[in-house]
Amino acid sequence: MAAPAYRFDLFETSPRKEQEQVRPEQEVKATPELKVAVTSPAKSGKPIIIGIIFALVFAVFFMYIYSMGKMNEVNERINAANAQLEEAQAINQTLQTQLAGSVSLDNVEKYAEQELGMQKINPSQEKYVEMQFGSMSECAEDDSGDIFVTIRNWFDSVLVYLGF
Amino acid sequence: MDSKLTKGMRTRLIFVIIFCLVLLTGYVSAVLFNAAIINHKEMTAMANEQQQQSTSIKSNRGTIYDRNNKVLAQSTTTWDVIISPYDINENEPENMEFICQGLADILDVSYSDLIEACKDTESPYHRVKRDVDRTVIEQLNTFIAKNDLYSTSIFTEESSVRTYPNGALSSSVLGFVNDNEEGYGLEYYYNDYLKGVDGRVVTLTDNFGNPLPYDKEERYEAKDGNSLITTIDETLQYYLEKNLEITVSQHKLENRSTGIIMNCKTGAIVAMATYPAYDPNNPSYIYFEKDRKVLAQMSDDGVAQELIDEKESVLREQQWRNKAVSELYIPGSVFKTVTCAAALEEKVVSLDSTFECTGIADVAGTKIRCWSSGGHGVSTLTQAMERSCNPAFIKIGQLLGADKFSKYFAAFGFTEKTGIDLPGEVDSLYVSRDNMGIVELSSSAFGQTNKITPIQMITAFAAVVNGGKLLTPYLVEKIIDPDGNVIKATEPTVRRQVISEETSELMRGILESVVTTNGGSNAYISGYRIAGKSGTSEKIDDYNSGADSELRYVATFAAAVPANDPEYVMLVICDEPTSGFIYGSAIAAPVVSQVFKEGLEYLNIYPQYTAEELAQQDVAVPYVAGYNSIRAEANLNAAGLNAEFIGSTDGTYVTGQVPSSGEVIPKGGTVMLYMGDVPFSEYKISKVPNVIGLTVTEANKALADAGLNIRITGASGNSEAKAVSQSISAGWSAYRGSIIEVNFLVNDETG
Repeated sequence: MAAPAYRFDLFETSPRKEQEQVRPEQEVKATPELKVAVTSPAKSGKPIIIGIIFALVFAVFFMYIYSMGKMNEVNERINAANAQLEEAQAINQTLQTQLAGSVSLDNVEKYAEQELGMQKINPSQEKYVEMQFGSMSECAEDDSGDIFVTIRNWFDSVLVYLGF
Repeated sequence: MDSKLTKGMRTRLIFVIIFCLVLLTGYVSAVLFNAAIINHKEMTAMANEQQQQSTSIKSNRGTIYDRNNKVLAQSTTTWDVIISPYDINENEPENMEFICQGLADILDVSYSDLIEACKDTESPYHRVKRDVDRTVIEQLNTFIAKNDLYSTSIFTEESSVRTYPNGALSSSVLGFVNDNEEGYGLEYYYNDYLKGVDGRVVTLTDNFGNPLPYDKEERYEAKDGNSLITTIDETLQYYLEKNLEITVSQHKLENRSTGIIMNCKTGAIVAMATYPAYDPNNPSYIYFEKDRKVLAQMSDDGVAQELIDEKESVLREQQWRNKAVSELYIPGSVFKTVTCAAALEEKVVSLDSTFECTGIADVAGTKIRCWSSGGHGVSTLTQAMERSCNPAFIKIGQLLGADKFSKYFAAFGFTEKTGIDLPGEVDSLYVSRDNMGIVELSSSAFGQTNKITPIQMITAFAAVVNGGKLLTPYLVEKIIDPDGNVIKATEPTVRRQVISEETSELMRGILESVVTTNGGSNAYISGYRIAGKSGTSEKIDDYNSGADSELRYVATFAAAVPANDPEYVMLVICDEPTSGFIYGSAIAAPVVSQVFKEGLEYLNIYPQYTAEELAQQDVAVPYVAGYNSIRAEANLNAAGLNAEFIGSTDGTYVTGQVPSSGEVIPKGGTVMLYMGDVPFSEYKISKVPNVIGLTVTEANKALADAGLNIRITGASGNSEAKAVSQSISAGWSAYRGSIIEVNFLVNDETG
């Protein structure tokens, strides 16, 4: 038999009640068995749910903090990489400028004359040759009549026109 | 007694808890409300002040390129080195002297100055040195890391410096700007395009100054400056400056030289130089040695420092000034091209007109001399130009009349600025129509009265030869943004048609004959058709005013090439030569000739030799060592040379030759061939004769008689040309057959 939901005897301590308690036994009819689901505190599961909820909240909170931290870290690496890139670009530009200065025409001429012992070419050492025809050669057109060759040639000319 | 809570107790407990919670919540809410709503502005301001950090992002100034995209001016990153005396004294006072000594050694600064700076212990910032380059910074970083110094004691700040990789090349065109954005040249004229706009990064920082999460950063990117693509050609610019430098040195010019090369069909300036110039990497340095000597002399003489500083300032400003646009000069006989073109256009003269010259012209009682004191006799128009006869052009000017002369003077652009995209272009000084009497007209006609700028002269000369179009000269072809998009492009501008194409064609023919007359002037180049005119003006205004006790001259030459269809014109001005030579044909024409020799093929203008020019060309001595006498002689004869044998030719071979193979000598020269076992010590020696002042024929004979070969440079074909220099001085000994290079010059106003 299930335990009663309320233990009134714990609440009433008046003599009337105590007397009532001495009454002769009445015929007690057995009440029909009630099948009531029993959940003992030990098996209720509320702490687990709360625990899971806490764990989830903690996990979300942890992930948020972790992601912020990771983002900071990545951003710092990006900033550092950008700074390195800017520095490398600045160094590159400085070196390009130094290179341009070192290969100036003045330096090149002085080096050629003083170090390599070279001389400027004399006009009489140049021989100009007059070409009778243009310096470009032309390919003879393929007029074999083959339709596939024609289509291919047309396609090639389109590609040339487009600059490929 | 039952200790368990009753209902009432529980109710009261809950009530108390809720009350406390409400109280607490209410308090927190009230505080938050106060902070976020009522005192919102103050709190935000306090937070921003504490956390916000603003950093400037430096923008890059635009680059200046030549027409082939070679860099002429560019900004490069440098660093300023800073120390914090406060941090040094706070963190590492024992290292102070060590730090100062290290910095002094690495940065080449004064140790005592650093020690003095470190005594100011309250100061967190003292700049040690500006614009330090990367290699030095790396040394500094190594020094800091190796000695484990505090990063707050010594640190660097990024800066930028304008770099001109070619040094002084085209400095008068490029110019520079200072921190106040004042300056010269293209840098100043296009400063609004070149300068960028600095950006800014606003971040929130933590207690240690580290930036907080990225998304809290507000970034305003820097906008880099635009770049200029100029019309300058670095190679031609170099050739022009190099030859101006040689001339300044050779003829000891007292007031600098200038040269301009312009595309006469578009007005694009491909080269513009003033020499001596300056290095824009260090514009304060006085470049002209003569000027530095003046200052040194003043110092030696004990002149007051203020006066020396004042003089230095004047000299500095003078060297920054672009002589081509900012200084006036009297054009001299080059101006005769304008007078002649105007007269032909108005048909007051023709090619058949004749003029008489007795050496002096009387104009309303004023005697005006010709440069040739004996006079030229009767000359046609072309001859008058070839001879640069002043009386002839006085006559031409009078035939033109003051009204028409003034009209063409204005039409050719001499009364207005050319509009070139450079700062500091000055107005000309000229005699107006109202003030022009017969004497002023006469002297103006041959270019000895009005003062104009070189850029006005070359623009007018271009109009004379290019079909009559007066163009606007320009230096910048296009302006591009940092992404390479063109934001502004310059189109050639024809201001007006001054003379007809027919007149221009006549002028081209006349000016070509000036260069080719008498076998070729000093500007003549074999294989090329060049039109040109020299000019020699007297700085009469300075002399008459007493500004100068000595009469000085300006030597000029203007040329156009190719003469039949000019593409380029060049003007060279040499101010105050003191070498003894004064004529434009002797001083300025060789500069033009040399620049064209080096530059025309670069410009894809190739020589086209006539048969006569081909016949006169020099030949390279062939290699004949190891040949027998017959074969050696045949090879030399085939090249147009003669052979002279030293030693027995029976069964022997050539063991030595002078000149050696590859050397270039005129046809008809003689090569010494040493046969068999003739030792080197027995090679024949000749004494070099003095050929200075001799004509080509005379010098050739003198050297041939001495057993030497001549190599002719300069006005080789001109019968009036005289030798002005020889490569081996007279009296020295040289191996028989050696080549003596002799330079010939026509030293008068012709050409």
